[in-house]
Amino acid sequence: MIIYLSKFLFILIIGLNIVACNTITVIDEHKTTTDIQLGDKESIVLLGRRHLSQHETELDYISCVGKQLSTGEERLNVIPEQQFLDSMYPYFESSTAPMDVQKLDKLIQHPNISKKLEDYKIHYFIWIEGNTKTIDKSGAISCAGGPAGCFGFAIWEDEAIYEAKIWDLKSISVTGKIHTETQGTSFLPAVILPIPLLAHVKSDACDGMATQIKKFLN
Amino acid sequence: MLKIINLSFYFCLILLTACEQSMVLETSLDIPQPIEIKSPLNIAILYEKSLRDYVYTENNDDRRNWSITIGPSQIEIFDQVLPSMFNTISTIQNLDEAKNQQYDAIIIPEIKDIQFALPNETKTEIHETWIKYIVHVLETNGEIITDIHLTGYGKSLPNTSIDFLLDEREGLVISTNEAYRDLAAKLIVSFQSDPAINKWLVTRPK
Repeated sequence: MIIYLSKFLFILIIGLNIVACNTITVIDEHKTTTDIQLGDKESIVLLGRRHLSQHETELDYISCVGKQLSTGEERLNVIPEQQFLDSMYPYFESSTAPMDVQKLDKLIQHPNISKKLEDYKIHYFIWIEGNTKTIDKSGAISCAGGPAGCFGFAIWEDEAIYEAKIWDLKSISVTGKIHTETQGTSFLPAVILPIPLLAHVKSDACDGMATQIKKFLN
Repeated sequence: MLKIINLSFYFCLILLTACEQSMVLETSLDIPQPIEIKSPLNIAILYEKSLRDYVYTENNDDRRNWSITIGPSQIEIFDQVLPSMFNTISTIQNLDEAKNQQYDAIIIPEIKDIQFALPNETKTEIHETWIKYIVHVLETNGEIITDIHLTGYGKSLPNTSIDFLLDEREGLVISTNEAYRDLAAKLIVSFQSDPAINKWLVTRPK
């Protein structure tokens, strides 16, 4: 009986693991110009939008995309977000950052600001808006003390929606947009011990966004 | 037997003291140096006693003996930020001191309110701080140019630690410093874009 139960649990966990590891990512890209070129010594800066407290873009998502862009083939010069925000203080804070290219144009009329941007050799600003959240969950797990452990089953679905807007600092224009949507389901079966089988929604959304930005700029 | 009673008494006293979650804190300032965009103005700043000695206190079931000294940090904010905004900055002790001097305007910062939200109150994992300010901008004859209303908001990163007593303090320090950073940023940008100040700059006698 115990052997049958062990086999059943083993097959269930493998099956759920396969399903849980699957995420679906849909990417949509819109270019407003074909003249997109990033010089060897030029940089990009990746910034999260955080002006609405309920829909802030996570710091770890921005650093994940930045890390992906600055490594591997066709790597890009990416200025770390916090370093950029501190050195440009207070003009790119969540409450003061330019919301459109016209406001950026106005900002760079100040010589001290344009000098800093020139020092960084920035060609493109990439503003990322969106976040990852749990959109559905069901099931329950109860844990009793002692050797009985936990028993139950929980399931939840995460959704990551992000949009990157790419601004060209040289022409003061919007170069394009990249929209990614990723969904995945995670499971938590518990027979004595809870075994989390997680869908890596945010990290898959990060991979998808970084790959698409590289294609866009190369 | 007497020794055991004595020991029990001290043990209970220690337990009672440990349960008393008092919070005595002095905030400090850690914000970046602003980019200089200076108006050609000579400014006098008046830090009133109510600002210099500002202490936030609260004592109720959820916030036992809270005493958060924030006055000195407020002086630091203006001392760090104003030199990046104006030609010269001088601190004055009262309004009369400004009368016979060559100042263009006087700034008097005033805290209107400060609020904190804790994770257990908002059912989130973050600490939050709000600071409401009125920055009075006056001509040297005492006439008001404008009152700038500012709210600085800051929050800590999600708290997942189990060391809750330590995190209460750390969370408040982080969220308060973020609120100072937001407040200082808004102060700089508001001075550059405030319509009343821009109008005064154009019309004032030079």
